[in-house]
Amino acid sequence: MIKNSTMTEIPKSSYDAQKKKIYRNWIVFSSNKISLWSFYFLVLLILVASFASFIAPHDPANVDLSLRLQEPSSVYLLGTDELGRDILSRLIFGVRTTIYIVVLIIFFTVPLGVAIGIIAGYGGKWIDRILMRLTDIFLALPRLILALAFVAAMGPGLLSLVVAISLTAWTSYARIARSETILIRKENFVKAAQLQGAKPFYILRHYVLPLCLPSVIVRLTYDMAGVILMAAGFGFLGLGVQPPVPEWGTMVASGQPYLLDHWWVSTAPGFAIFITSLALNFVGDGLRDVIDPRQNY
Amino acid sequence: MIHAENLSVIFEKKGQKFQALSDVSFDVKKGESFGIIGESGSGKTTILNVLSGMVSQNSGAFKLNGTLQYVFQDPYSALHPYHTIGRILEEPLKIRKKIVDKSLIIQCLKNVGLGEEYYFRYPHELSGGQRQRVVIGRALVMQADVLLLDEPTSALDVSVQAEILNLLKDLQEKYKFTMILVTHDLPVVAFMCNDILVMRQGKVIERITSTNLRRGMIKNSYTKELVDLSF
Repeated sequence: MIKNSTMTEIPKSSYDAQKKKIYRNWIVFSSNKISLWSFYFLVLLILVASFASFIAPHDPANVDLSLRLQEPSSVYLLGTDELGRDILSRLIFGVRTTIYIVVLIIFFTVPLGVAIGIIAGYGGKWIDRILMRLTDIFLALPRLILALAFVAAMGPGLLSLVVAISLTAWTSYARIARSETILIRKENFVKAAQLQGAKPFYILRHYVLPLCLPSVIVRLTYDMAGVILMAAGFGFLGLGVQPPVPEWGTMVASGQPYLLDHWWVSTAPGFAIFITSLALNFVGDGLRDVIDPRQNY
Repeated sequence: MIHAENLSVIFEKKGQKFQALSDVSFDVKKGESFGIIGESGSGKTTILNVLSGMVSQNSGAFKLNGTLQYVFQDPYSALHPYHTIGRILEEPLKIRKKIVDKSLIIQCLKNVGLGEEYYFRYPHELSGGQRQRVVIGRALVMQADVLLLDEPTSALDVSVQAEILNLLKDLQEKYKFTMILVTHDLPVVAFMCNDILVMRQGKVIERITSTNLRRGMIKNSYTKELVDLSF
């Protein structure tokens, strides 16, 4: 428990109370230095994505074959690729693609997974059995083969990639939300609300959902790292985002034929993938320490 | 107020049957403090669970007029951890879509011995005794006719126990609600309740008034044993 001046002051509004809670969580989170710096790094990435057109020194799609496979130099800080495009600029614009993919997948998977999980966990009995078997079916789908099927059906591109990953990724949120719900359902304050006459939907919305979210968010941060790796993997196999859109996985793949003679083509995007997923994992660790739902009871 | 007849509850786990209650009957009048005492496993909490609808009886029936609220043994899990105390007290009104009057909530906080300054606190900032006061306050806000108290003080310090029990007694005089107090603590039940039900292994052993208990006018040998153990 942290003691400081803001803890002893009497909160005068719900805004005060919220602020105090956030402050307390921030103290816990920032005490983990690696998580803190990883968090700063991710904020930086978002800023880079927002201002990519100002930061990037060159046009990421500008093909100039006379400049192909240039070594890193003062003009091209990370060198150029096999079509003479500036790798640093492509890396900077690639952040956008990565964030875009991650956000789309979160948008498709988290609401669906959490909704199914809490309904299954709170409903119990046959509702639980039907919904969880459904989840198992989707969990059993092989992602890579599914992606190949989507690429065959809809052509390679961002959408097939997102659909292929989302179709199986929501299941993990359903499982987490369900197991959390089963614990929350037994809590006395939920029983008290039931005795006050709260309807199941009210309890799901105000009791179960907010208490599930911490575990879901922690899982989400870890999963984001996984999604970035998977998207990069699909990109590497040529199933993901198509050129000329800069994408880190595709960039790694494009450097593969020149790996021994022109190492920088694959190294820079590979390093970006590595650092970003590492940072997400560290932030996940930090968040887990902050919002361990058990510690607040 | 409450009329229960031949309540029986059987729990089944992996084919093993356990008779938690067998043929339990009792009446509680409006505004009465009714105590249920027994060892752990005697079925006293099961009675509360049946009355509150969390467990359904296998046979028998009960009639209950009015609204219930439960005061739990563990005050630590009885309050929503993400809601402020004010919000927790407003919740019964919100659930019934009634207008939330903040002065009413503050009055309620004062009634249970907490000040206005607790309105925007979170449960984890409160001690066990203070939390139990909030739980009691919540029952007052929803104007519960019956309070089910499941060992309300056993998780608290001895000094705080007396405070909570006195608070409950005062509030009952003021608001005239009915109390059903379940405990294994004979002095507590003798202090709080006029009428006491002694339970053992799911059966009612004896119904006795606290006056008779104090005078030693006990019919049953098990009740005598309990009294000898605690005084």
